[in-house]
Amino acid sequence: MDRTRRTDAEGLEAIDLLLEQGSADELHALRSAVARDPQRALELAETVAVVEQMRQLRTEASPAFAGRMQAVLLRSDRYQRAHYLPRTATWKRIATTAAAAAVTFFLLSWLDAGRWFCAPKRETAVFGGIDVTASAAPPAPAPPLVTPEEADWKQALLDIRARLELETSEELQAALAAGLDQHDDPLDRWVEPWNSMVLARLDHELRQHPEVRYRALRERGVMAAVDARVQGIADGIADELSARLAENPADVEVAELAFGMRALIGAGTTGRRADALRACGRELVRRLPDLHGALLVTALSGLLEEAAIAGDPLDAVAQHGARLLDEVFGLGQRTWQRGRPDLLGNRVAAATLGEAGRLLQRLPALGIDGRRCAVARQLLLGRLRERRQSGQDRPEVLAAMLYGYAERMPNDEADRIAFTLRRWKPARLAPDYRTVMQMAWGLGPGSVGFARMQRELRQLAIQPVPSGLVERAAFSLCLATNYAGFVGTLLPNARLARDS
Amino acid sequence: MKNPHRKSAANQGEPDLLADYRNGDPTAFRRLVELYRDRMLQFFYRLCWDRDRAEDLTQELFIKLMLGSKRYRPEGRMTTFVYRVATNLWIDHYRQQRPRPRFYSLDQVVHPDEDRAPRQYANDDPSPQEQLTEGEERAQMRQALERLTEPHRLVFELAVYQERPYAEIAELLGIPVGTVKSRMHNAVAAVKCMLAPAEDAPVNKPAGGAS
Repeated sequence: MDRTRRTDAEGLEAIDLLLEQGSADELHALRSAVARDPQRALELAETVAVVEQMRQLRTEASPAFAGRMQAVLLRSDRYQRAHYLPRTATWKRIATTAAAAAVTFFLLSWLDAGRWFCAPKRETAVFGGIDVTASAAPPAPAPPLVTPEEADWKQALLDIRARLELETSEELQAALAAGLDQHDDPLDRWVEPWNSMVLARLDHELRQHPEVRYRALRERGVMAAVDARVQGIADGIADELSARLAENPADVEVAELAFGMRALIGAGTTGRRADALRACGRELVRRLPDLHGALLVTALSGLLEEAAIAGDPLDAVAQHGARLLDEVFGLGQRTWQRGRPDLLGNRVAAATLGEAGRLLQRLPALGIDGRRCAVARQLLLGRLRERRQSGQDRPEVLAAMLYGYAERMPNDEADRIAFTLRRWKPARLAPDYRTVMQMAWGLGPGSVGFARMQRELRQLAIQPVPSGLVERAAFSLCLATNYAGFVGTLLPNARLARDS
Repeated sequence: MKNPHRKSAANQGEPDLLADYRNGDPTAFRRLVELYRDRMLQFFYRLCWDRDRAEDLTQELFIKLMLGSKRYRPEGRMTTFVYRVATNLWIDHYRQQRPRPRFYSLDQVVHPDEDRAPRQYANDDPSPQEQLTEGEERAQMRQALERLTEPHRLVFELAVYQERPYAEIAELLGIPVGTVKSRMHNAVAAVKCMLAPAEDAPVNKPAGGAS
C-alpha cells in the first residue's frame, strides 16, 4: 500500500490536516490517528516538508510593476468620479463659480486690496538738507534669471526623479544621482571627445596603408591574410550599397546604411568605397529628421564616424545629437511624466545601448552639453545594470556595458564583466557579430582578458561570411579589430605610413 | 507555516473594499490593490511561470475588478469575488494561449506527453545565468508543478498557496467539494512522487492511480 495515499475513515489526508480543511471533529480524529500511528506521523512530516518547499516558489515584481499599479489606481479614481460620485449639474457649477467670482471681486475692490501689494512708502528723513534714508535700505537683490532651457532642464529632472521613485528603480535612481554628481572640468568634457575624434581621423589615414594594417595584425598574432578578407567584404558592401541606393534608396534600411558606413571606414575608404560612403551619408542625413530612439542612435553612430574622418556632416550630427539628448530627458515633451523614454524601455536592443554610450561619449566634441551627455550615459548604463539584475545577464548586455561605458564603471565592475564574458567564445556567438564586435572593441589593450580575447578572435578568420549586410559589416569590423577598434593605437606605426 | 493573510481573509468581518469603493470611499481601491497585489502576482506567476505575463494579468485583474464593481453584490464575500475573477481570468487566458488542444481526463494528474521532450516557448527560456544560478531543487519543484494538469494545478495553487477552503474553491470553480478534495489529494501525491528521489518513486508513475 502506498503510504502517500493512505486515507482515514472520513476521507481526510495529511494535507487536509496541514491546511486545516475539514470540521474540527474530523481534524481532531485525524490528529489522534497520527499521534497513534508512527507511519502516519512520518507521512505528515513528509507532506509538511513538501509544502514548505513548494511555498518557496515565488517571484519578485519588476521595477515597472509599481508604476503600472499606480496607473491602475489613477484610472480607478477617474472611474469612481465618473460612475459613483454624485455629479453636480453643469449649470449649477457655472452659477456657483460666477457667484464666487463676483463676491471676491466686490470684496477686493471694497478693501482696496491693490494697496497691499504696493511697496510700502519709506518715511523720508532729512538731515542737513540730505535725504539720509535714500541709502539706508539697499535694494533687494533681483532673483536670478532662469532661461527657458534651464527651467525645462530642472522640470525634466523633477519628472525623472518622480518617475524613478514611482517605479522604485534603484539602479536608475543611483545612476541619475551619480550622473548629476560628476564635477568634471568643463574643458575636459570637450577636450577628451575632441581628441578622440582627431585620433580617429589620424587612425583612418594611417590604416589606408596596407603595411600599417599588416603590422597591426602581426603584432597581435593575427594572420596578415585576414586583411584581404576585410578588404574584400568592404568592396562587396560598397558595391551593394551603391547599387541599391541608385536603384531605390528607400529599400535600404537605416541599420544597413550605418553599419555599412562603419565597415567601409574600418577597412579604409579608398577608391569606390569613398563614393559609397558619401552616398550612404547623404541618404542617412536625409532621413535623420524622421528617426527617433534606437534608429536615431544607429544612424548617428555611422554619421559620427564619417564626420570624424571627413569633417562632414558635423552640423547635422550635432543638431540631431542634441535632439537625441532631449529625447532621453524628455525635454519639451514631458515624456517622463507618462513613462520612460523609448531608449530606456524594454524594446531597445542592448547593443544599441552600447552604441548610444559611445555616441554620447563623443558628442560633446560637437558643442553639445557635456554634462548632460554624461548624465544620459549614466542613465543608459543604469538601464543595462537593471537588465543584468533582472536576470538578463546575457553576453550582449555585458558586451554593451564594456563597449559603451567601460570608463564610467568602477574598475572592479569592468573586470568582473570581462571575466564573466569569458564564458561566451566569439566563434560560438556567431552569427551575432554585433555582440562579438562590441566584446572585441570593448576590451582594449591593457584591459583584463585582452590577450585571451585576441586569441579567441583568431578563430573568426575561418568563419563563413554572413549573408545579411548588417551582419557582414559587423563581421568585417570584428576581423578589423586590431587596426580599427582601438583609437590611437596605430600612432607608433605613423613612420611606416610616412615612408611608404 | 501559516500564511498571515489567511486569518484576515477568511474572517467574515473583513472590510468590503469593493462596496466601499462603490460608495465613494477614495482610498478603498488603493487598499484593495495593496492587499491583493502581491498575492495575485504570485498566483498568476505560479500558473504561467512568466513574470511579465503575471504582471499583465495582475494589472488586468484589477481593471476587471474596477469595472466589475458595478455588478458586485455586497452580500457575497469580497475575497471570493476577487478570486473568482482571478480564476476566470486565468482560465480565459489559458484557453487563449493553449498551443494545441489537449485531451485528458480530469482524473489524470500529470500531462500525458511527459515522456516527450519538455515543451519550450521562446519567452520561457531561462537565460544561461538563470540556468546556472537557479538551484536544482527549485527547478525540480517548478517542473513538478508544471507537469500537473491545469485543473489540478489550479486547485493546488488555491489550496496550498492561497489557502482557500475547499468549499470556496468548489464555489470558485463550479465543481463539487468532493472533486476538489480528490484533485487536491491526487495533486499532492503526484508532486510528492515527482519530488521523491528516483529510487523511491518512478517519475512517470505518480502515486494514487493518477493516470
